[in-house]
Amino acid sequence: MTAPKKKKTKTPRSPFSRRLFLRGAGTVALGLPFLESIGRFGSKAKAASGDESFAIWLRQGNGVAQEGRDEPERFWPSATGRLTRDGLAGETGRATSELADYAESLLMVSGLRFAFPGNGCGHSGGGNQCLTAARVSEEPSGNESLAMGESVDNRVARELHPEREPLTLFTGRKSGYLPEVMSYRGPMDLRAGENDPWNAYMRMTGLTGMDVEVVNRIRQRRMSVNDLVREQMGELLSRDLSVDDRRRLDLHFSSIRDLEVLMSCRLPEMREMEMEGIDPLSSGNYQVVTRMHMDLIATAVACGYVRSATLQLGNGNDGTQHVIPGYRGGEELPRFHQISHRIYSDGSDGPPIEGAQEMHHEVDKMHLRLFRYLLDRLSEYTSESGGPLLDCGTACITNDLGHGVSHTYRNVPFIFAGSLGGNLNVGNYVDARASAGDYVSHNKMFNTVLSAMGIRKEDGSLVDDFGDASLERGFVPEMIASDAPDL
Amino acid sequence: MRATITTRTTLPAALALLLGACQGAIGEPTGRTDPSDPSDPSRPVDPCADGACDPEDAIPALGSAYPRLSHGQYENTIRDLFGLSETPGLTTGFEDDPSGTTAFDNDSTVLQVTPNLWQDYQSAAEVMASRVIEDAALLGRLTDGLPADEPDRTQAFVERFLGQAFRRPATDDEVRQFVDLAAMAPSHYPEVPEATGRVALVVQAALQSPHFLYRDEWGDPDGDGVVELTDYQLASRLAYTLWDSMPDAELLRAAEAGELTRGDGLRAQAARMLDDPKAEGKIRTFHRKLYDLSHYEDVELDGFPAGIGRTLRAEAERFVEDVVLENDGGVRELYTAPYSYVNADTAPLYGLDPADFGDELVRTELDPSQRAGLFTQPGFIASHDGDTAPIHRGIFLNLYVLCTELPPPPVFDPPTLEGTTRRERINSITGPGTCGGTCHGEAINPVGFPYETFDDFGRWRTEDNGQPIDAAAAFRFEEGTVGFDGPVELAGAIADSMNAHRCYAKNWLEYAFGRPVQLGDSPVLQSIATQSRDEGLSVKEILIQLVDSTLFRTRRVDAEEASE
Repeated sequence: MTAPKKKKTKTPRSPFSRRLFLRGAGTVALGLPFLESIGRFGSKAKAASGDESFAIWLRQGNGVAQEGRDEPERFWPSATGRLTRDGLAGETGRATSELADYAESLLMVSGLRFAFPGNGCGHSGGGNQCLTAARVSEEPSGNESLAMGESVDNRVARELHPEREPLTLFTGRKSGYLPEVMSYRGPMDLRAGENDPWNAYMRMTGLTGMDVEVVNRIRQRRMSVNDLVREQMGELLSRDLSVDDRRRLDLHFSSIRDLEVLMSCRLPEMREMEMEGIDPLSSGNYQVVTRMHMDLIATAVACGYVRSATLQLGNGNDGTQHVIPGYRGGEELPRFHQISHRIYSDGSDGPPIEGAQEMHHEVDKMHLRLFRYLLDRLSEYTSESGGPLLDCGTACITNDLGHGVSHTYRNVPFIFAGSLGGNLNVGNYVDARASAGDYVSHNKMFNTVLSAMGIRKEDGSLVDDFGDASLERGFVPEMIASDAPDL
Repeated sequence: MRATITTRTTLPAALALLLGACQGAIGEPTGRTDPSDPSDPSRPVDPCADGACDPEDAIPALGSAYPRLSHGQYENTIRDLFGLSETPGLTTGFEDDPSGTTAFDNDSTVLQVTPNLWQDYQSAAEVMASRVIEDAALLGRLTDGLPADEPDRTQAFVERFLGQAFRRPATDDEVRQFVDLAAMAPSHYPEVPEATGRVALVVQAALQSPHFLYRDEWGDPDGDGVVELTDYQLASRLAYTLWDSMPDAELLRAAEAGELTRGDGLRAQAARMLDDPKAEGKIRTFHRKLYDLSHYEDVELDGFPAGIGRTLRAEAERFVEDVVLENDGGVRELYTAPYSYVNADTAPLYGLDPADFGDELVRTELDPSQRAGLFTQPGFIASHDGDTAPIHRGIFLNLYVLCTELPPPPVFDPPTLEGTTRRERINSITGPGTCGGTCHGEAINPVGFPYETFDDFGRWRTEDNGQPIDAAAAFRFEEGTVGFDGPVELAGAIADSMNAHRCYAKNWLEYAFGRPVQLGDSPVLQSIATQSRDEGLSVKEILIQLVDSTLFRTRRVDAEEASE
């Protein structure tokens, strides 16, 4: 007898078309032309001043195929030091060779670790800490465990654009077991990730594609309605309220204000149509949807819509069955989570997957090629001062485990692209253990990035205390450029 | 995130859970701790702690003064407010709400309006305003019977529409605000007749008003920090409890007449509303979510038609309808009824001849020595399959049927399963004398092993790997340790236990009231569970008793709210 197998199901899409939705927003629509009158979008991004910094965080699950558990190194460059295009490109056996074109903009950081143990589920515990450097909750536990602190994307948004939450995106179908893990508003306050790029785009652009006259009319209506709603919200907030109710209504009140900042950035119409038509939940669309999310992120950053974004690639224990063009004849690979375990099982007991190490390596390469796509998109923009937009901020691809099989929290990869205004030591592969002598808790990496972004503590000093309060303060010296202007 | 452990659980996680050291008291009611501040001197204790317990001893629950509508409630409310034949689907693209601590999606303690959701609300309101303009029949319904001339027409429309949208009469200030807004129609909607633009503007604003998006349960607390809900607040709470939608005209009439705060008015309305199809939807949704019936759809069985999982889900849902809606049954029937709904596709799973069945699921009496209630149906069995199936099934029953508190799992390296039968393999690392013996020996395995009489498809079997099935076990219920041999005897033992009846009532309370259970709820739960076990209380009567309790009529404020 064969065990029952799970079936892939397709979630039905909205019963009304999204074009109709757009028309609905406009009321007796007059077409969908470009909303250029209030747009800042274009090939030029906002001014290259200190307020242009941004940070984008991509997260792959299940660890990477690096050295460990008697498996060879297939991820990192063969030696720390200066990165060059030719040098990286020549290391074809290492996944990071996929980023050779951006060697001069890269800062690869090994030797980092998560400080706290998980609580019954390695994936969940890793996801909890990945962007928070916070403890893992005692309760709930297991696959339901939560981070006990805010994530770095939230901190950046809170500091740099408190009127708008960070862009929080997700590629793939969310499992009931362990879906999003990345972005936290605060302790145990996990932010949902949007896995449909069209939904995210609609939220970002609000009224894209309408006649200017119609848009202006809509804006006037919204202002009038918002005035009324604000008055009512104010009346509610003037009452005696519990702490929780006040917090919720305050969030609502600020959300109204937030939306009044209409977004005008827009993707090319062909891209919009592709985005509208895609099934974001199909594993076969994994890479396409990821690239669409990246289009959104690049656009959002270039327009100044957000300066903080995350993109989670797959579930907490990502079970996507990837199809990698040119690899194994384009066949569907086993579930990625099982590949990372090297067996046909999500546990520890099962028949081996032949070539699993190599498959994991290829999945790593695929993700780094996707990361390169994001860098390509960001590179299309220059700041108003004329420099590359990428140099104003940074994009990082990381993981919530170090090595897939062992589920270790040591040597979790953090690969940055972009110097944050010359503050990061780009063009180098560094090992954080070089000066510390041992693995370095990754809260120091966050301290370095936040400070490089120009964020400061209340007393004006550099941020050196991100993450759990028990962690040792400080920075990762290897990450800081020798001529960093702000550090 | 729901704390379910089913086949979605990875093997390490299942094994981790199965080796957890049991610190909770198995067999005791779940009784979540009260969410209030422990330092608050008004923090309640369990009124049933000393054993004696009367429903009147229930302590009003801490709760939000402004619980937000869930997405499902929003859909239903729009449907009923505009007299649509079906829900409009506006929330399909809405930002997901975070999961709370209940098994359901309406935990008011976590529902809030984020910037993304606010944008969703704004867009949805504009869609409905647009529909009012474009749909003459809809506009006609909204404006039917209004005075012909301004300003009386707008005044009357605003009063009537807000009275429905806000679930209470609008105040003079609110009416003035909306009338003033409507007067802007010529500039805001120049492309449509002014009268139409006025209606559209009011609709657009009303659907974004906090009085629409939240249920208003605010009030002045008495000296004990307790707010007695008003008639209109009770009407709203009752409608969303039983219908997940707004009050209808009859309920609003009863509220206006003050009937809900007098005598049996509330109970009478509840009984009326439970006979309405809108209540059926709520009851179906409850069972689908509690028993994770949607998960059955993931089942595929070799040799059976594609889509068998959907049929298994349909069987379970049809069974629930039969028991609860058509036969006024209760917990005992859900867990022990020796029949189900079978068609040609599923007949072989029951050892029946498919030639005797067609495509339609038909009620079929089953072998009462093999089948009893929901959890002997193939959908439950096959959706918890594989070598750790007894663990998955045992955990599910403990968490969602018996409400046993299971401790968090430890971090460990999963050992190797050894043995001939599945029971032996699991016992090799969780049985008596092993480090997992405490939790599994007493809680998880005993209610998982009886289902070993079924293969992973849910077919009856007598052997496992050539060895005879051992389906005997014992579980420590509140009433004492009860032995059973096989799934039918287990079903009977569960149906005889306070654990199961209190658990069922507790889950209904969380779903119906949209909040986690609190210690002060214990007297009401104890009373309902006792009647359910001893007198066979129907599901509908359980709901009536919930809404006819002190818990339903009151709200307790926290120290912060009381002191301001």
